[in-house]
Amino acid sequence: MPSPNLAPPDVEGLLAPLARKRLVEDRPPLGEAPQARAAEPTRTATPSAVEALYRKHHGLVYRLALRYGKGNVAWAEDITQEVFLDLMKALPALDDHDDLAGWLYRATTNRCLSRMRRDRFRALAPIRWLFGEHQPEPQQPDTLVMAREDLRRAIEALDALPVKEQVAFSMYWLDGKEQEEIGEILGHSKGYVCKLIQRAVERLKKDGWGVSP
Amino acid sequence: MTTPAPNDLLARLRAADELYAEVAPDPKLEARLGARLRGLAGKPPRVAWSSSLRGLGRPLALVLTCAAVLFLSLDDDTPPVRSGLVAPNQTEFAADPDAAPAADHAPETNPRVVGPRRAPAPSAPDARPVAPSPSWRVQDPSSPSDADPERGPLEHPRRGPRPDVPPGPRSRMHTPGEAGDADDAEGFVFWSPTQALSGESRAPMYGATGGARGSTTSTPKPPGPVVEPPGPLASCATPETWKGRAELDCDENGLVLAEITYLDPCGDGLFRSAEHECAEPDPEVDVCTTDTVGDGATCQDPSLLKDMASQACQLAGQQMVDFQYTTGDCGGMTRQASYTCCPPIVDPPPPEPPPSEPPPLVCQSGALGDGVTCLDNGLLKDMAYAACKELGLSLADLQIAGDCPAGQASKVGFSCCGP
Repeated sequence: MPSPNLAPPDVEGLLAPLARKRLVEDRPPLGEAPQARAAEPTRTATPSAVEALYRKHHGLVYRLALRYGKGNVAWAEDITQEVFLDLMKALPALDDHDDLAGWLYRATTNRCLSRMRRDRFRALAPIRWLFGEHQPEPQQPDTLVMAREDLRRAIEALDALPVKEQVAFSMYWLDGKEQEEIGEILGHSKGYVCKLIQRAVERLKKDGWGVSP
Repeated sequence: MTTPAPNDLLARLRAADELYAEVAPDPKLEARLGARLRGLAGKPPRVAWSSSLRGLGRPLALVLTCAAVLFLSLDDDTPPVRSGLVAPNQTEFAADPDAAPAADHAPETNPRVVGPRRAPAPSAPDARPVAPSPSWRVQDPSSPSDADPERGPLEHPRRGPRPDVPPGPRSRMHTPGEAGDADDAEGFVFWSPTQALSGESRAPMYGATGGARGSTTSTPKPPGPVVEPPGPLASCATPETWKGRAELDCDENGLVLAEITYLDPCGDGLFRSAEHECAEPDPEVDVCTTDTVGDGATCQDPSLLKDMASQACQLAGQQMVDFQYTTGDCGGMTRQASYTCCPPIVDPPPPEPPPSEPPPLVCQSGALGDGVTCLDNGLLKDMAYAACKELGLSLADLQIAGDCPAGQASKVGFSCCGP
C-alpha cells in the first residue's frame, strides 16, 4: 500500500490555477458575507445564472477537460458544455454554502471519465464495425502542447494507462487530492484508489518514466 | 530555472496543465451554452431519443436478423403438437362427404408459418359407413352446424380439422348438454342412434369424438348398442360410469380399454368427460373358461362328470383347475357340475447344466531308435503307437530321421496326446 503522503509537497503551489485555491480566494470573509453574497450570482436555475457561473468557473472545467482530452479542444468544449448543463439541473439542489468549485471538479472528472471510457469502447474494432464507423481519426493535437515533443510523449504515456488509473493518477499526482477524496469522487474505496495509483505508477515506471515528487 | 529530467513525467504533465490553464475556451462556446441553457429551461426534460438511437442501426439490424434466423429455425414443417384434448372438429369423422371441409372455415392460425401455405393432403372421400352407434354431441339447435343440414356434425366454424394430422387412438366422451373444450362454444351433441338409424344426413360421431393422435384406432366402428348418458341430461358422471362406457365402446370394436383419463371434474369425484384409448387385446394372454357339465336334470356320477369336464379341458388344450358339483336330491349323485379350464402351466425347463469344460490336452514326446541302426519305418511306427498306448494317449505326431535306405530310419521322434 503506498503511503498516503506520496503527493508532492509543493502540489498546492503547482495547482495554483486550480479550483480549491481559487475558491478560497473567491470566498468572502465571514464578516462581510452579506455583501459578498450579494455580489455572487444567485444560485437559481436560470440560464443567466448558469451563464454567470460559467464565466466565473469555466477555467477549471475547461482545463480539466483539456487534460483528459489530451488537448482536444472540441472534446473539452463538449465536456464543458455538458458540465454546465448538468449544473443547471443540479443548481436548485445545491446549497449556497456548497463548494461549487468542488462540485464542478467532481462533475468534470466524472464526465471526462465516462467519456474516455466510452471513447475507448467505441474505438474497439468490433464496435467500430458494428456502428459503421471508420478508423478513428487521430486526435487533433493541441498546438500548445503538441508543439513540445517532451510534453506530447508524457501525455501519450498517460493516455496509455487504463482510464481509471489515468484519472486516479492525475487526481492524486497532479491535483493533489487525497486517496479518500478520490475514492469519494470516483465511487471507489480508498484501498482500490491506492491500487489504481500504484498500478499506474508501476506501468509508467516500466515504460521508463520517473514518477517522484 | 532548472530543466526537469528527461524522464520526469510529473514535471511534463504539470507543464502541460499550465499550458492548458492558459487556454481560454472559444467565446462561441458561451453563446452555444447559453442557447442550450435557454432551450433547456424552456422545454420540459425529455429523452434525447434521436441522439441515443443514432448509430444504432447496425446493432439493431444485427439483433433483428439473429432473431429472425432463430425464429425461422424453430419453425419446422411438423404440425403443432396436439396433446391432450382435441376439439371435436379436429377429428376425421366428417361423415358427410358433401360437407365442406372445416379447414375452409378456419384459417391457418399458426402465425409462425412463413411462406406459401401447404396444400392439404389429398384425402379420399370418407367411405366409412354412417355409424349408427352411440355418439355424443351437445345438442345445440342454434349451432350453425346443427342448423345446417348440409354440414356435418363435426364441422365447427371456429376450428378446422388438420388434414395432415393423422387420426389418433384416443377418444373423448362428453355428457350431453356439456361443452367440450373450454374454447369450444358448441361442444358435442349426443347423437341418438335412433337419429342415426333414421338416415339423417348428419352422421354421428362414432362413440367418441375421435382424436388427433396416434395412427391405429380410427377405424370405423360397427354399429353397437346404445350408450345412453347417465341421467336426464346429466352433466357429471362417476368414473365408473365413464369407464363402463369406454369399455363398451372398445368392446364394440373387439378392443379392450387400455387407458382412460377423466376430465373436467365437476365435484364429488364426478367428471364431465373422459378420454379413453382402446387397444388390441393381447393375443398372448390366455384366459380361463368356466363351463358346466350335466344337464341339470339327470343324476349322474360326479366322477363321470369330472371326467367329462377334464376331457373338455383337454380338448381345448387346457387343463382343469377347478371342479365343483352341486349336491341335490340325487343322493351321492349330482345333476350338474361346474368346472374351470385354464391354460396349462408349463414349468420352465430346468436350467441346463453348464457345459463341462473339456479336459486339458496332455501331450508327451519321445524318441525311438539309437540313431545308428536302421529299422523299418513300419516297425518304428508300431513302436511309437505302442508307447503312446502304454501312456494312455494317442499318437499325434511322428517324425522319422536317420541316414538309412528308403523305408527305414534309425531314429523316430513321436508325440502322444490325450485324451
